Amino acid sequence: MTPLFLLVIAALLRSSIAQDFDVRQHLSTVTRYGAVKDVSDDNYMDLSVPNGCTAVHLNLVARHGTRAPTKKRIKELDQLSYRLKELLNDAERKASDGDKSLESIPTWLRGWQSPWQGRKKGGELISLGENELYDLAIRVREMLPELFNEEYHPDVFPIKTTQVPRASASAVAFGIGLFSERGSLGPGRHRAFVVTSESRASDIHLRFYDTCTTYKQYRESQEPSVQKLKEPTLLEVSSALKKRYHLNFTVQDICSLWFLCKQEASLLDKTDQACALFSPTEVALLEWTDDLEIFILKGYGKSLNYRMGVPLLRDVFYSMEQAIVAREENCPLGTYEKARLRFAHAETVIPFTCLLGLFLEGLEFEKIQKEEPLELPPKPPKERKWRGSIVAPFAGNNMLVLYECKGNSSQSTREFVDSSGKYFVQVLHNEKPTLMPVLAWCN
Amino acid sequence: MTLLFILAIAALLHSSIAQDFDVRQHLSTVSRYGAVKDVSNDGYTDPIVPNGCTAVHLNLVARHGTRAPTKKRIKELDRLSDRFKELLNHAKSEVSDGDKSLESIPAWLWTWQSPWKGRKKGGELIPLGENELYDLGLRVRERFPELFNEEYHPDVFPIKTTQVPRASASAVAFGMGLFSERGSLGLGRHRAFAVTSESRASDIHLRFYDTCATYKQYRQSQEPSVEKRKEPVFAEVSSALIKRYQLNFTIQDISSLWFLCKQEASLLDKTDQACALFSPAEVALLEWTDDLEIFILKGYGESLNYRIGVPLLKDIFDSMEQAIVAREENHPLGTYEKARLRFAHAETVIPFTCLLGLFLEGSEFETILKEKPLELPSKPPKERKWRGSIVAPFAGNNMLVLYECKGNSSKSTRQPDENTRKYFVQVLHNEKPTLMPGCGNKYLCPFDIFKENVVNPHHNHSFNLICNARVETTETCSIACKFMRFFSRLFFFEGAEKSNSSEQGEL
Repeated sequence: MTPLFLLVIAALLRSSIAQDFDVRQHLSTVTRYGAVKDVSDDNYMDLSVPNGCTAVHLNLVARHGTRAPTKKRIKELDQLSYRLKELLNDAERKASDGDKSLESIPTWLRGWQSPWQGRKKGGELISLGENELYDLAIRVREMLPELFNEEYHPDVFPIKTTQVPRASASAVAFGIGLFSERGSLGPGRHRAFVVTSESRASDIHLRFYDTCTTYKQYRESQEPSVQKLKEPTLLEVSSALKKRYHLNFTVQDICSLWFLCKQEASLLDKTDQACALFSPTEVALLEWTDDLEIFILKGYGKSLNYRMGVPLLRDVFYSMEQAIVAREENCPLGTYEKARLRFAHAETVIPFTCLLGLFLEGLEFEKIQKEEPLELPPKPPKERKWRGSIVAPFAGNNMLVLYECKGNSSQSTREFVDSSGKYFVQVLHNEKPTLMPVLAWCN
Repeated sequence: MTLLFILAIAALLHSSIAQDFDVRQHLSTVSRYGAVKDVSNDGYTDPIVPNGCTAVHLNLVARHGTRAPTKKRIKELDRLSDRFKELLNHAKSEVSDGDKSLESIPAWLWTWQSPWKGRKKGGELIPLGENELYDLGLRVRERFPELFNEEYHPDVFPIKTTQVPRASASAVAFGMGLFSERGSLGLGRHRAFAVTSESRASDIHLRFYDTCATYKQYRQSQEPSVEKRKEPVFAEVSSALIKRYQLNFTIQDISSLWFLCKQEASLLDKTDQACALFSPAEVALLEWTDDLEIFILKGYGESLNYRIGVPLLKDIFDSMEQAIVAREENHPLGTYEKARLRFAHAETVIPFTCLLGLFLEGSEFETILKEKPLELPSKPPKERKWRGSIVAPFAGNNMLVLYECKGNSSKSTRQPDENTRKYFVQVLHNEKPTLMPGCGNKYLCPFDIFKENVVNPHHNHSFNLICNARVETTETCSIACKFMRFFSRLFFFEGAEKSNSSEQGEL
């Protein structure tokens, strides 16, 4: 009786774990913002802003929203379609009478065609992505009313983007949300607003990864070794799938199928086709190979990766200094900047996040300061902080809010001097207040 | 009795002429789009696009919409306020008992303060200007359904702007109109769209007037002589106003009052204050001085003015060629560009309009081809075609529509094979189809003729050669001079937000 009981419990547990596992949260940088926005890594507590503090400036660095696959990947999926035909034909030829191996092949594989088949152009922001940025803006406006209850002026709310269309369209979607009902255009009473970009060759704030030759050389030279690191996992998954479905999958097939899973899950909300080929454990492993890749090529893996982001960090810092000057000199409203809003790419957000020292394990911050190399993110089932789905999902973003706190010494934990302003920086990652390795509240 | 009758007629005529005169149509480049959009210079009737022709590509070059005065001008108006006090005090001190001269002074002068007083920042697009572009976007979409009944993609509908905020905001306003109800954002179901700009130092398509050193030198050198040409008119108007209002106006006062009139009329719809100081004849003269200035410094006055716009013309021509290739090769929908939309400044639209040869009198086009100088625009009351309020009002624009016309030999004047496609270019200025001198008297210009007569004549003028040639031949730069130039360039790049104060701001 007891073993039966235990089995039942185990089965229930397993199915509930399977239900808790949402593949859409495990797609590295192909993860949708909505899938991870409320996922919390640490014991997050609402860091409420103390009395006497008001926000005086906001810096935003955001990745563009969910986008269509690029032209290169569209072709890869078209090739996958042929490849699947090959595999199925191969399997059918080899099957003898009474062989039930064909029954294990998922039905959708027969005759599958890429949903993006025939498209010549790719990489554009899709409606889903527009909505991500639009909704983000509405929330930002609600979260910081003291900043946005002011009439729009391009010098008060500068909006910057890269020349890449999906970033610019993200900026526009954000602006449409941020200034809705503040103007007179259309039924939504929108305001028009300024969006500017720099020429590709001169964009050192947002597209530094493309303007820095040293970095580009480094990245190219590392790609083979990254592939080598990923290979054992891909082989492991590939042989598991061969056994499971009796099809002769190669490592390239697994890569393409994993890519297809990410696109289906994030763009089409479809988790029962390509994603269903993999078990949750296999998904976790494939996710880890993606996270490894961005760690090495774009993140903490090499200090060069984030040092190129220093002009951006300087720009952010400089804007804060100017805001402080404006407050100290009591500049009238409408004459000084209240927010600097930037829309770019994962290759911008990842290094910037590293410059802030977020998503480090334990004592890694000290290691970085000592210029010692970090360990790679541990392989599942070990836990890790570095996850592409959280560091840089679609619309992933960092916000640095500058607060001015007036108060007297009896109320606060820090020592305020009389009623002079004291300035504090709060960092939010994907709208969640985040601890920078130094302190919870920095000034 | 007859005399009385004649006098009555004259009075009625006079008042009706006065009523027909709307000062808002005479404000040169400070005219609002709505004030001039339906004003026609010639006996214009809307030409119908023939059967069998569909639009396959659109090039748009537009000026930004109505904007607030720039910082420099805001200060000028603040000074005007002080100046009024001076003038009025002076008039009061000179008045003796029974002298009624103070009664001729308009009441508003006594208490006037600039509506933009105290503002530290200027030049931004105002809601009026946003609406101009938004509405233009809606009208363009309605006019060319075959172009815009397609899903937005940044490669199909690229939108370009300069980095100057009023141009970028104009692009955004236009896009919001063009793609409204095509998406899912907000109540208007808007689509988001990509808007991109080039860095100021590299914008040779839209801000060529700022990237070309030779042109900037020319402009600076001509400004004194332009002022000299304007002076007689200002002196004339100034003495008329001194007599009329018994105040000691200077030429600078007249200049500022004319500027105030333009701002009041266009931005605030107020024509009964500063503008009412001038008679219609005086307004026409002041308008002419403005038009003269832009003719000389930005228009036909010097071929350099528009030759720097050749990269833009080439860009437009290339886009048409690419559209033709896409059609000839039957590219599927969604894979080729349908419209290239650009938002810039008067300094862009004016030269581009000149490159197309619009607003020329009589046989001036031949004069240009022979590289001979043109005459300046005629002084009122003589008529003229060159008017800033029509060439480049706020939101003023040129559209080049590429039509594909299918026909068989029985219908067309050319001899095509059956079902041969033929391509034609139609030019619209401020949404009105316009005749290009190079294309004779046809509203639809065959593409090869457009290429031969409008584009190719400018083929030999290389932007780099024109713009960088003279920089080396100026005084040799000593080491100290080179040092200064190096640091000034550093600051120029660093302070991209602070435009050069010595530069005239763009319009």
